Formats: sequence, C-alpha cells, structure tokens
Amino acid sequence: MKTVILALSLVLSAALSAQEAETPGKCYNRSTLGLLCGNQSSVTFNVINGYRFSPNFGAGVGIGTEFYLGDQHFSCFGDVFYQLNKSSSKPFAALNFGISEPRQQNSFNKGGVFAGASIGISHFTGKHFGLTTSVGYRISMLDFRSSWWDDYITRGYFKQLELRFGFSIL
Amino acid sequence: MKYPVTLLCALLLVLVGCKDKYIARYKMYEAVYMDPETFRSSVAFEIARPVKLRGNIYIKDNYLFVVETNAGVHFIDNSNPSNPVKTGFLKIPGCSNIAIRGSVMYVSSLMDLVCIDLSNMAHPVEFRRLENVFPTQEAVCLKNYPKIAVESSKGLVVDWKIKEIEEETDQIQYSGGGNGNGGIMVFEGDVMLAASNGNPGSGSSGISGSITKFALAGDYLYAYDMGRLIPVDVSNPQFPVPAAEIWMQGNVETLFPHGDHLFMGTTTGMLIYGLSNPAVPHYISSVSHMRACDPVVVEDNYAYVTVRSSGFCGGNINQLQVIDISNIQSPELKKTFEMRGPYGLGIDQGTLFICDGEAGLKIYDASQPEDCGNQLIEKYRHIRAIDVIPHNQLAIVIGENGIYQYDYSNRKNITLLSEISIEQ
Repeated sequence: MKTVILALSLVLSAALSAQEAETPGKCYNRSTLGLLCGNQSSVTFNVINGYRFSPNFGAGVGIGTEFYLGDQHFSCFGDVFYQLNKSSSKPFAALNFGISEPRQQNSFNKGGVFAGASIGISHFTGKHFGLTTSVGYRISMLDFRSSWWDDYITRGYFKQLELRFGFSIL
Repeated sequence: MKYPVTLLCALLLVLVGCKDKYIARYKMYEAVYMDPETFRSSVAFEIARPVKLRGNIYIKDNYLFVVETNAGVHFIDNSNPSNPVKTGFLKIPGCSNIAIRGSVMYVSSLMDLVCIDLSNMAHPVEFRRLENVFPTQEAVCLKNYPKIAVESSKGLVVDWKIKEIEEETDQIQYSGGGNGNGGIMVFEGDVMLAASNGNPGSGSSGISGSITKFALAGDYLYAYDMGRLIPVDVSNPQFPVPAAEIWMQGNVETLFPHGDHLFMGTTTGMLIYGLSNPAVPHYISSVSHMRACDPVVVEDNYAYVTVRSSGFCGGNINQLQVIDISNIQSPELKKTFEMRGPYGLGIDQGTLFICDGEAGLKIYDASQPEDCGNQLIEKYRHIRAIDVIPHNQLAIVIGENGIYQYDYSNRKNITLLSEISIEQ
C-alpha cells in the first residue's frame, strides 16, 4: 500500500509539473504541517497536488502521514476546495476523503478510511506563492484486529480537530 | 461578553465532537447443553449429509473418515479418490478424536471413550463405552472465541453455538484477557483442533494427519487431555483398558508415534517420550522453542515441526523446523524456514506437505531434509489448508472450506482428483 501511495504521488507530481509548464496557474500545490487534536492527538503532514477548474474551484489528490495509537499511518486522499478570489488573502473551504494505512503492515492494525472538512485562508505574498492556515474537523474509521481472539475487530472512530499551517503554490 | 460565550460554546461542541468511539464486532461461543443420559444414548448411524464443520481426517483401508467436531464422523468410501462417496454419518455428541485399530473405531466423546464396531461399514454400532476416561467436560472449540459463562447445572456442554456481537467498548481489544463483557469467561487454552491417530502404525491401524491428540502405537492408544497423557491398552480391541495417566510437562497439542517413541508438539517445543514400557511412557529428550503451536511428523532421522504464532498460540514465529533425531537422546535443531502461519504437515517418502494456513498448501522435496524449505515443488494458494494425510501417492488435505485429494505420483504434475466442500 505504501508503495502504491508513493508511486501515485510521484506520477501525479510529474504530471502536474508537466501540465504546469503548459498552463501556468491552473495547477496548485498545498503542503501543510499541523496537529490533529482529540482523544488521539498527532502531528500531521499533507501534500496536495491538484488542478483548478476555475479561479474558485479545484480538486486534487494528496498524501499525508499521521499517528494513531502509536502507529504511523500514511494516507492517500482526494481533495476538493472552493476559494474566494477577492484579494491577496483568499479564504477557502475544502473537503477531503481517503484511506489511511499503517506504515508497518501487521495483523493487528488494519487501517481504514477518513473524511474531513476545513476552512482556511491563503495569504499570497506573490503571484504564485502564499502562506496557508486552516482549521477543520476530521473523522477516521480504522479497524484493529485482536491478536488473541479470532475474528475480533474493533473499529475506532477517531474524531479530531485539525489545525494546519503551510504554503500554497499556484 | 457575547463573543467569549459563543467561543466557549463552540469549544464545548468541538470537545464533545472529538470524543472517540470504539465498536467491537466479534463472535462468542454459547454452550449447547445435553443431559448425560441423552448424551450417552445418542450414538446413531444416519444417512450421509454435507460436512458442515472442519475436523480431523483419518484413513483406514478404502475409507476416509472426517470428524465433524462435536457432532460425529462422516464415513466416505474413498475406493476411487476421484469420486469419493459419502456413505453415512455417525452421530456422536462431543466427538473430537478418532483412531481405528482392526475393526474398532475409538472415539473421544467429551469425557468418554466410545468403541464402535466397524465390521459392517454400512452399520457401525457402539459396543462399549468407557465412561469418564478423559477429564474434558466441554466440547472442543475450533476457533478462539470468548465463551459465555457455562452453567453446569444445565447439563454437559456438547457443542457451541456462535453468537455475533456488536457493542460499544471503551478500548481496543489487542490481546488476551476479558473483553469488557461481564458475562464472559476467558479462553481456557486447550482448544486445539484434535485429530485422530498418527502415522501408519502397526498392524491394521489407520492413518491420520499431524494435528492429533490420539495416537496408536503398538498395543496402546495414547490420548492427551488437559495436561494428562492417558495410555489405553487395546491389545484386545474389544476390551480397551485405561492405564494410569501420566502428568505431562508443557501443554501438549499433537502426538505422533514413530517406532518406539512418541513425539509430542507442545506450546514450548517438541517432546520425545520412550515407549519401551508402553503402559508408562517416559521422557527422553526435547527441543524447545518460543511459545507457539507446533505439530510434528517424523521420517527416518528427521523430525519436521511447524511452529505457528497467532491468537492463543502466542509467540511471534512462523516456521518449519527440521530437527535431526539420529541421536534420540539429544535431538538437534538443524534448520528453520520461514512460513506464513503453518498448521499441520505430513511427509511421505521425501515429499513434505505443509498446510501454511492463508498461504495455502505447500509441497516440498525433502529428499535433502536440511534443505527442504528451499525445494518448493508446488503451492496451492486457494486452499486455506489445515491438515494433511499423504499416503501412497495420495494427499488428502482438509482446509477451511473443503477436503481435497491430490495425486502426487508424479511430483512434476500433481493433480487434483476430487473436492468435497465444507458447508459452514
């Protein structure tokens, strides 16, 4: 799974780079570092590469990493956003959904899916580069198999407040 | 003042909304009770029916016997392995182990040893019952599920019903112990799939797979139950006589007789007992390993042990171990080969069969025993193989979903002859 995520990311990045050269300003990258706060708290890092279908609307694919119950997870997700284009400070709202897999494949931590929503603002210091901050809510649904009992799955619903800081490139 | 209150409310909402939730989905065993009188009068030969639950396999002459754990024994005419024919079902409540000597089938039925006359295969009948030979008072569990507390006042536990549970819990259940439900007993440990007896043995005994707690050697039937090895003198098959039980070290899971020795797979290693005095087997030597489940088979000067770690087996190793037993006083672990999660195994004239659970059935060339793990001949991934009997170029494999027969007379072209499905 890890290999798939990395390969997907590389392919997408390459494709977007090529596309960017032809149609400047249509592609975007948003890279953020942040915190997931809840009963389970974790640092989180995301990189999203996407395409802007209009000045306001865009969609992309991202990869990220965070921790659940001490295990590092990698996530692969889809991202859609709507952005207001009023000035150099551009408020936006984003939705994302994807899968989360543990870094170490073992028989206990089976991974799962997640979805999130956030609002934020990107403050552009130039034509292409902006600083971004956002706050959101994320719910992850992850399965854990008991190593003792047979056919015993505990599904954890992790609900977290998501705070992110980073940069956007258009 | 308005803004701080709004902020406080928002913060509370967020905090409430960030409380994690855990839902546990699992299965539990609920006891099926029967009163002792009904239990002891229920043995009957019935018309053939589908195999509903995996159990031990055993062959004798042209017949294949499949134990349906806790329910009885399927009789299958295997004269033509390409077309096995189910001929009947011997209903025996609490049934788990079988062994056949001559025309007598010995069956463990909870705490009793039941003797079945097979002289007429179309009409097998119970002719003797040795009551309370085994300490076991409960039916075998094939899976490691929590049990709802048993109420012994309701009678004997002859079987288990599976109950599916979905409940909110306050933590993730990673490993052993209780699961937060007040009415649950923890697992008792001694629930390995128990099978019939070991290798070809002497005279007219049958053959079974490697996962076994019944073994016929010479004039004795050896049965392991709850920490005790129980020798039963079957020199006169019609009148079996239990000898004094022997307390064993370790938790024995499988028995395999070979020559004058009894090899035992335990959760902590392989034990070798001598049978020079068959009524009182004596300890000779052992090879230890990390805690795990481990059936053992023997051919010539080598013992082959599969070591599996999962659930109640404990440990963290999954291996095939090759042990040199040329010096029976001092067996030596020669080689280990990594496996996925092996269960039973079998060997026949240098062809080694490993039931590697989810990884399927694996067949190796063991003509060079210490290199056998590198000599894979064939692999059948679609079978979640549990145990195997290889004999006379025919491998009978039982998996989670069926019983499969393979012709390995040509090891370069192993062919599937037939399949009997298990309807779970």
